[in-house]
Amino acid sequence: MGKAVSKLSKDDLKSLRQATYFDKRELQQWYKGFIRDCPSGQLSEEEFSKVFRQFFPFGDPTDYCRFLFQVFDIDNSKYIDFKEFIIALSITTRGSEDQKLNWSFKLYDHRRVGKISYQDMLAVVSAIYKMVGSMVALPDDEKTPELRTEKFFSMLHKDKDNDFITLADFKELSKRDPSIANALSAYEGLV
Amino acid sequence: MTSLNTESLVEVIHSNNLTVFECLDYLRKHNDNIGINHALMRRIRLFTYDDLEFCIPQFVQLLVAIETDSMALEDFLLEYSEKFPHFGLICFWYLQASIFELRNDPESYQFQTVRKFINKLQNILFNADVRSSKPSDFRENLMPALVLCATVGSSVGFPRLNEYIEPLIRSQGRQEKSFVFKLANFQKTLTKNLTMKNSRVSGEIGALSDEEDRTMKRNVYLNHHRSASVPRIPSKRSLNIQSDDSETYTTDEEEKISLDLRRDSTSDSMSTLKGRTSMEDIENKFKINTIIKSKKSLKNMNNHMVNEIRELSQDDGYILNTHSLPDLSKLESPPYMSFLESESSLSFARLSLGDVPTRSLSQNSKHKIPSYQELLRKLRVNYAKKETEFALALQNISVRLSQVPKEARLSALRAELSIINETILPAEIDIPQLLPITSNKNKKYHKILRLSVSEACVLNSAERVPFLLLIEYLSDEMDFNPFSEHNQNILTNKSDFHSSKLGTDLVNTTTHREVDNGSSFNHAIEQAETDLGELPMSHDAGLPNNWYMESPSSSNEIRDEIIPIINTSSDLNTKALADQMRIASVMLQQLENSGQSNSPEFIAIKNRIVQSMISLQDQFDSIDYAKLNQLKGDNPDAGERKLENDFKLGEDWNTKKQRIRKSSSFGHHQNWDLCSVIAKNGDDLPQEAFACQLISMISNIWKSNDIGAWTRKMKILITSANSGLVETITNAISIHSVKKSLTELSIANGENLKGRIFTLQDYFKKLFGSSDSQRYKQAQDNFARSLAAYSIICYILQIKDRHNGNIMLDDEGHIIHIDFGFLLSNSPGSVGFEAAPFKLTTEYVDLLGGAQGAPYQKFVSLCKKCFSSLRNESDQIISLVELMQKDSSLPCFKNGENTSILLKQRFQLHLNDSESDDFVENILIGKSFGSMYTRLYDQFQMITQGIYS
Repeated sequence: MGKAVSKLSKDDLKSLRQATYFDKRELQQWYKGFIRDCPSGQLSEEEFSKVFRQFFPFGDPTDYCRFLFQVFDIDNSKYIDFKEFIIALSITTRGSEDQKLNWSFKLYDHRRVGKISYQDMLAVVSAIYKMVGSMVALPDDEKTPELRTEKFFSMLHKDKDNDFITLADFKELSKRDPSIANALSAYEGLV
Repeated sequence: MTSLNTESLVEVIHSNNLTVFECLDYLRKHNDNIGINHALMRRIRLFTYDDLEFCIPQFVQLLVAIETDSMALEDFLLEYSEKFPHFGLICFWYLQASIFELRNDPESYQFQTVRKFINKLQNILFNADVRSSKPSDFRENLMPALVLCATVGSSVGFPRLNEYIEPLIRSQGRQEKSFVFKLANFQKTLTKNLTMKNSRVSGEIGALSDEEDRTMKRNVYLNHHRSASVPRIPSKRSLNIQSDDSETYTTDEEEKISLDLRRDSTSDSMSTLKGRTSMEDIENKFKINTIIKSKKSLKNMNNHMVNEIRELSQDDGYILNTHSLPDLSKLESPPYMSFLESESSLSFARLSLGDVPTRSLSQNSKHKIPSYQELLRKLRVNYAKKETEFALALQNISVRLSQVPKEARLSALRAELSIINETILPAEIDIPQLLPITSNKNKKYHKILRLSVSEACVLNSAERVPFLLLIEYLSDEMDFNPFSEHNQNILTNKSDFHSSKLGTDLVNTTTHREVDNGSSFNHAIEQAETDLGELPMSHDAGLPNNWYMESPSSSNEIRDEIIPIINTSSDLNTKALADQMRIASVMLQQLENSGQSNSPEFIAIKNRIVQSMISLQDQFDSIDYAKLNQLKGDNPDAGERKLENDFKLGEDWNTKKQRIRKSSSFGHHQNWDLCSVIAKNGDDLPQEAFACQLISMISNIWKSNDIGAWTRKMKILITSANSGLVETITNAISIHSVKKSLTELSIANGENLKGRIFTLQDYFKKLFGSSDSQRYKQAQDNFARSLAAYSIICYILQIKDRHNGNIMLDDEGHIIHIDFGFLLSNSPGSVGFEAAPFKLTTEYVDLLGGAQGAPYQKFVSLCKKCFSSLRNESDQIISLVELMQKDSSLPCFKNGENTSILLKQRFQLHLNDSESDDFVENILIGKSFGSMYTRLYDQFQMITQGIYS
């Protein structure tokens, strides 16, 4: 059969059972699936964005993938391994809303300074817009990434040029905009 | 990634001008991108249902031949199959045809894909339990999982992302992939199947290690089993059996299915009968060991049996198992026959009535009223089962008829049809695609009442035994509204059926199979594919179950007694008559099989049986002939139609319909109607259906361009790889028959002493009056418009074998081409006669008033218009052929990839419009006009086949 080890070691299992919401069997199954779809066991950024081009053929996902890859790649090894993947999956599908927000805050806080400037935010929102292309119909006040980003700041009564969005602000956003909360919980119970 | 310009693709997808065929083409070309696939399939849902139903063969081909990671097409097909009963059935039948084509390569991607998909589809069509059919939610797929994470990550920044991506994530997440892949040998592929299957189970219950154990164990069984059985099986079959094995042992739910494990053609019924007593103890679970054991003893028993039959021994055990159904392996039929048999039972779906899920459901909701959805589902399942049962019944008739001597076929056919009338009909059965669609809104379905037994006839061509069938039905009679009175009855009866039948069904099923479903032999493929058990063939059919039990206990007695019984039984009811017919035909088969069919004694017996069958054949339908004649006399049109009545085939359709209506016990219903179909067996049907599809497509192009060309759309319903129903053209006869009948008639009347062969002009004059008359001119015009259309069609599609037996004239003067066994890249045999672009005889030209005549000129100008409008839309025709030729085994794609290239060349796309007109006039028409080749071919047919030129 394949070269990669087809099962997780006892130690890995043990640590992952603590780090995720998955049980032993689920972890083994996901590991199998991961190795099947990524036989080397390590996903490079290039391969990562290839996946997104499969799902977003009508736009360019490269920029967004760069931001997202960093969030996945906890140890900054330039590869995503199974552990990093399963932890992200655990949070996004089974984590609490708070955990999801903590996790995605890192996406926007890509300079790792603990707070998000207008430019930081704009970069990520632009990247998402670029990825989606024209496949989602947009209301007038969200036509551009700039408008969308400004909306955040105004929602929080902040000045886009001088203020920052902290983690607490970030969480506040999802309380004020129910569509954010909905999006966060869209896949609850799916995996 | 393909080098696509996605910007423009987005525009294309959202364009209003996009056609279904373009969508199909994009799907094929962008098979490597999941997102594009989903976007296209989302777009495809905006087309009308009829457009989509028309394309089912293409969807199936896409699914089978075009490898993709996208689930979009599959999801679409399942969704539509659930929504639209006919969509599901047609898909199902086409898929059966595919799996049959793929039977020799069970390891292939295609085979695996189809197999998995058929399972899902069957769940929708035949499993009444809504809950158990829910697809599992999210499997261990890396790609959609990553995108899911990304989407959650973007929730704050752009919550709307889900509008686009959520359906993709959910759909792709459901994808079933094997955990073990790229395995070379068969053994490993088996493991793969098992793992896939098991992964599904384990997703719900099993523990990982268990699963692997099971896999191992089953493999052991497999090896064991195969090594025991393969060497004894003729090489032709072994593949078959392997594929069977793989599936049999892969099934998650072994309960009833295991009864069908019998597959080797010889002597299944034998072993089952022998094992019947023990089977009762075994209950639902037939142990694999038992099977192996019984298989081991098969060969001996088989030989034994043959001897016994030969001696026509007294042992009544053997009467029982001499098979009601002939033993195919001993017939001289080619191997495909057994495939055919096995193939046929593909359509049998498994009733999962008493399965665990139902039980657990009933615990939860014992006193709950079933939801609307559940009721709807039950009705649809009921419908799908009846439909497939009916299709299979017709299919099996052909198979059985082919084993009966020609003289006795008509009688046997009538017996078979009356059995269907007795056991299946009337029932909630419509014939998708063949019966006219009368209402699209709130679509209602037709309901078949009965088959007109006395009107059915066996068509001449020898081995496959197609037969003509008139079907009485009620138009727009039923729907799936669970609250209508009729449907309430079905639902109530169904639940009775559930509870009462289950316990006893097992044994019955076996007997059913031997008798009714000639296909218990060699089911390799359907086993492989379907995981299904069997539908009981008939609901309470005492007759097909048991009739042979009542037969006298020894063959000697049969010889002495049955025949007299048959002869004196004129007042028996249909059922009893049918019984006797079947007994007689079984006896015939036994005689044939006994290997002594040449001895004088046997010939004498055979003749007696055949004679008695023939004497019985008219007793099935009591028709009041006196009343009938009177009816004819009253009909003012009768005189006018006399000519055609002389042709026998040509009885005016409406007259015939009225006659049958009067004699039918259902005739008083207001929405009573009649349709005429040919039930056909043979592997050329998928090709015929494809040809008809191309012709429909072409004629739609002409219609939308208002060209004025005339074609007759032929409808063919495929019910498996080698069976189907073909619509008959009710008011037309072949040019061959026209000429033959007219010529023979005139000779008989002494008007034609020189034996001159009549021309079409003679015929037109006889039918429509003098050549100056308005009727004649109208007919001439009809002829010109249809001739132009078919000429261009024959050229573009290279339709060959155009002798006069394959060309018809209808009662308005239209010419109609039928029989598309040869097109695109194949032509009949080694005979390379038909080199002309199309058939244009001097006789046709004469009929059109000669080369200078106005009708002829109209013909020429129509040809030009037809050709030029096709050139403008050649893309869709070419891309359809490109799609269908991929990995196809149809003979019309003999040239492989070149098929579409040559097709494209025939459109002469390098010519401008006026050059194209010249091309039509000088090259196409010029070459065809009175082509030596055409004449040669007609003469060849006249000499070799007796077809009139």
